[in-house]
Amino acid sequence: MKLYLQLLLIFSPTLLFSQDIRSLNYSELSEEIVADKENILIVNFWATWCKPCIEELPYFEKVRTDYSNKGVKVKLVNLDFNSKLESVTVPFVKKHKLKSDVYHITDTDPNEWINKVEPRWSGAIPATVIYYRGEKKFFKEGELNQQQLVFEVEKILEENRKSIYNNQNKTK
Amino acid sequence: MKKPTLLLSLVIITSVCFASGYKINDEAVDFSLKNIDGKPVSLKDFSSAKGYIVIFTCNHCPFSVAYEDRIIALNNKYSPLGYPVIAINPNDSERQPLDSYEEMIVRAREKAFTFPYLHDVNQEIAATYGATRTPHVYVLKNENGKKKVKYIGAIDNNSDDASMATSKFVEQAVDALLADKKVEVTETKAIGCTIKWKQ
Repeated sequence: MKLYLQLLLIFSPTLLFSQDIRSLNYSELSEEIVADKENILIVNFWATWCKPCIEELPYFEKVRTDYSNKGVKVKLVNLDFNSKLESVTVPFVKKHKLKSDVYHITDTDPNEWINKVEPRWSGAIPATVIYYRGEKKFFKEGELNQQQLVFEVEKILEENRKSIYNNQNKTK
Repeated sequence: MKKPTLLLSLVIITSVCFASGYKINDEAVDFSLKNIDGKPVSLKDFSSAKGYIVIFTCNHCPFSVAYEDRIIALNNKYSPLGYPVIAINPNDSERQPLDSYEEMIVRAREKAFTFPYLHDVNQEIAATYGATRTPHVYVLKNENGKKKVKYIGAIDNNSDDASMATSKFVEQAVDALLADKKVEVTETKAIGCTIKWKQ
């Protein structure tokens, strides 16, 4: 499975800007999110100019590290202007040595895709969505702190433990 | 004097609690906010206005900065036609010092703003209108003395590059209103900075 994914990445027609940032449009990102039927995906929309976004990046990085063995993945979706990608975004990601997967949305008309992410989202960033097995579990417009993030992840893990337990009991 | 203040606070509290803000065709409240010249400005001051282009914006947000020239152009085009731009900065300057009243004066001078740039110091108007980000536009139309919300959202569909914008939402809305036609696209979204609410 992993090899297949790696091959898919290598041969993906999506433009690879650098090792660090993948540029794609929202429908490509969305397909990728829905296709993941295994993991908890934390998708955070951010930009280098957004102060509260930058402040919370370490929280996402920490959750990624602490929960990587529990199937938690982080996608940092950058919304800098396309014209700033190479001059600002790429150096920023390198400087901060971001370990999470960093994406850059190339669509120039957010009105076309903001509602697809979440109808309650006004478009202000930061904004965070958490998916589990391709299904949306959580949405927040505005800042998150480390505790909130951990709480939401633990909540999903706990629900999952309960459902496994229930299923085991049913089969007994 | 006391009663209207109480009523206004109730309206504000309600709108904050439910965080709903205005919807299309709601009646917008007037306000009295301090302009960069130190004088208060209200919507009713524009006695001959057919409506208003109310824009919540600020100094620090790159999206607001990217739209400054377009906001000036909107005012230059539509103020003579009866739709002046009223810019309002709703940000808490403790959280974002670049959005202080003093910095507003500096920025307005640098860019030679041709429209009022008001300080929503208590953030009440932004909360009542339901603004969440900068820039965030409300096009209002005067209808029998009432200010009705006719459009909420983005200025156009390309923040990065004005020349690449294929839909100029605010212009389309105001043009329709000027021609006594229905506004086709009444609500849009855009990426923007969160409003920096007091903590």
